[in-house]
Amino acid sequence: MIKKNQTASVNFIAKSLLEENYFAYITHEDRNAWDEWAVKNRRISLLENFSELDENQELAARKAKYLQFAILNVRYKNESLAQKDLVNKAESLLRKSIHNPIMLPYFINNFDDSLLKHSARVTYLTILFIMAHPALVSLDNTQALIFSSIIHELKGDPATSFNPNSYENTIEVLQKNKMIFPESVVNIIQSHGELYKEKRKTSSNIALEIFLLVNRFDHIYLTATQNPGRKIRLEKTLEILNGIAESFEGTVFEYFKDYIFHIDYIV
Amino acid sequence: MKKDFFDISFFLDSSEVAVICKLFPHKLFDSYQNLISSAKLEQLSQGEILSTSIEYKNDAFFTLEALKEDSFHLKKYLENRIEGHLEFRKILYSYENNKNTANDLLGALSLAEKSALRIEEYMPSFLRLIRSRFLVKSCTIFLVTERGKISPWIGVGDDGQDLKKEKISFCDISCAALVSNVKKIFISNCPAENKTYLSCNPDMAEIPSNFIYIPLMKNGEVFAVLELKNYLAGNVGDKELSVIQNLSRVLCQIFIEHFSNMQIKHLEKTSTGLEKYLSANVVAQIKKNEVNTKEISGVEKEVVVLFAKINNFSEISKRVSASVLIDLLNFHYEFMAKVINAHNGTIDKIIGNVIMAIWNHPIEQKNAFELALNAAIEMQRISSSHVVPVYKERGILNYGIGIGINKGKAVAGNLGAQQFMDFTVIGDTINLAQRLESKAESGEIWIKKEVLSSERDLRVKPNKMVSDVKIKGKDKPIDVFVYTPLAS
Repeated sequence: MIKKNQTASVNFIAKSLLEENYFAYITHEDRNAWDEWAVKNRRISLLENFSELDENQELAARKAKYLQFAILNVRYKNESLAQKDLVNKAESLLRKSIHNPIMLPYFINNFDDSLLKHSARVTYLTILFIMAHPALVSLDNTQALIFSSIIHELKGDPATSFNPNSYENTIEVLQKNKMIFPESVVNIIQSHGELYKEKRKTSSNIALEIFLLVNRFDHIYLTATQNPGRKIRLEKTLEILNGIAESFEGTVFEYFKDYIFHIDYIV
Repeated sequence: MKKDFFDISFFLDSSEVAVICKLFPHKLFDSYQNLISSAKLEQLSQGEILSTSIEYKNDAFFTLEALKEDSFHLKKYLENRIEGHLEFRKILYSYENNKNTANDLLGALSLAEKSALRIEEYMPSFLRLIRSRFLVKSCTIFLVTERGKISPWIGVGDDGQDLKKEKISFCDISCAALVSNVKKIFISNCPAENKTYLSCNPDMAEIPSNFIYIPLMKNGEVFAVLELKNYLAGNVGDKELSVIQNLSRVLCQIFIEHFSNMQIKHLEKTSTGLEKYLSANVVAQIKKNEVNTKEISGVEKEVVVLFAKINNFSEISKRVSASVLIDLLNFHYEFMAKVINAHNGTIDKIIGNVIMAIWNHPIEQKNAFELALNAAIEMQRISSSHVVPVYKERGILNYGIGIGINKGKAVAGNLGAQQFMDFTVIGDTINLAQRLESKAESGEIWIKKEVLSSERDLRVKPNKMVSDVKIKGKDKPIDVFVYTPLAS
């Protein structure tokens, strides 16, 4: 891991780029050297592709940061071989989703880190949970849900501002910032808000129920207790969630209560 | 099996078909199952008939029914004709400056309007026309809604039938969303190797041979995206792009017309048209009966009036075509109107390059002058930040507005005949405001010294004073205060 302001060799950056796990800033003075290297090493196509989408390093950095927020803060406590495979697949899906060009307006708008972190945790945990429970719901056709999860909250502080009308704030930000997403993606955000308001016990859309539960979990986890201990925080969160259990789909909630103990959840 | 059809007139004229085919017993059907050619039907009914598709690159264009022994030669001949036309791109001759298709579309629009058809009813026919003329297999329009959503609206699919929304892939919608966000044309002749496209299509759903996504824009905002997939006559090059851009402009025109009709209908429905010339705030008060109706029918009262004109207008109008000029003017007025409404002013009229707005009528406004002044300052700022760049894009570098404000007595009310009634104000106060506006250079706001001096609590102070200004129709010169908000 390189620290802030520490220099790295071109080879190191190349390796990082190949693995797509890191991001790097190139100083203006080094720009020519970098371009020469990029041409020689045929990395120019990547840059072309970036420029095609009006991408820049800042944008790439924000995406990389988002990925870091997800994979570093939501981890299996003891990763078995099967879980490792699952984690790899979940990471790959999250990476593909954030690099999907329709996410461009989300990453162009420089949303606050607290919103980015909340979004990253909720999205990644939703993906992991769905992958770990294929009997509940298949990941097929959940692409729109993943995009919705990424953009579901765009205003306020996730620790204090969550309420049944949060989705209306999100729609307001979409309008104000002229961000355009497929209708199915925006509709999920709306359905999510309505589901929360209605406190229905069941829904035909299990993936949406999972997202709703994970989102509520994260919001409550942020403020459940002042105690910094993760174990106490988790217990307190589950206690609160149990108190509003009727808000969630029964089976999903039962599975989730078992599953979350395998996860090291850091906020 | 019939897969796809196009307009026969683009491949073979009817006399040619008749000459070629009259020797052979046959029936030839066009894209809409119309019988376009037939010969020796009595012989046809006596022999063994073979029904076959006339194809080009696996896409059927016509259906041929002929005697089994003739059908092979006939089919080959017709296919060669089609291929020849496509390979030599002769089809494109009719696209010179896009006149034909654009005219066809506009002609069809005029017919549709006369028949009182709704846009949803005639747009599929338009798309079919574009599809057959441009030789693409599918053609779809995605609409952007105000709430940040984009969704497929109307389309014609590979089989020539109306596209069912549920059949449109998430990848297609993603590409349309991308285009509406970046406001750029997205085009690829090899989507299978296009990284951006593949990022939109992680599941590798059906990949077209090529595609074009074009944003349809109004006032710099995307309201729809036109998607064309699988162009059959080779790669999409500059010529094709130019044609399709022209077509998209026609589509924009159709939509803009539609939007303005919708707006008018909406206004008529909601408020008998008052919003057309009163600010929403004023209308709301009228609706609540907070305004004396006599105020609207005619009274002498103190008003604040603002005139704003685009300077160098005759020079600008010589530089661009009439349609572009209208677009530019509308763009300018859209911002001006927003500012005036936001400051609770009422737009009295727009005459060419001049807009006139009033305050303190029909509702009383204690801070009418301050509202008008703030509106004028904001108009200068917004024109500099939002309108100037758009005019510059069109090569117009000398756009700017000059504003005059005046306060005083005027006669206000509805003026005109039964058939044409205009809600307006008249009087010397109005004339002077207009004269001041005509003196103001770009970026300036001119106000008579006495008027400004009577306003004691103004927070914004003028930048300079001009003495002894000669005003047409006035015996004595006057002193004027000038605001230059862009300079400060």
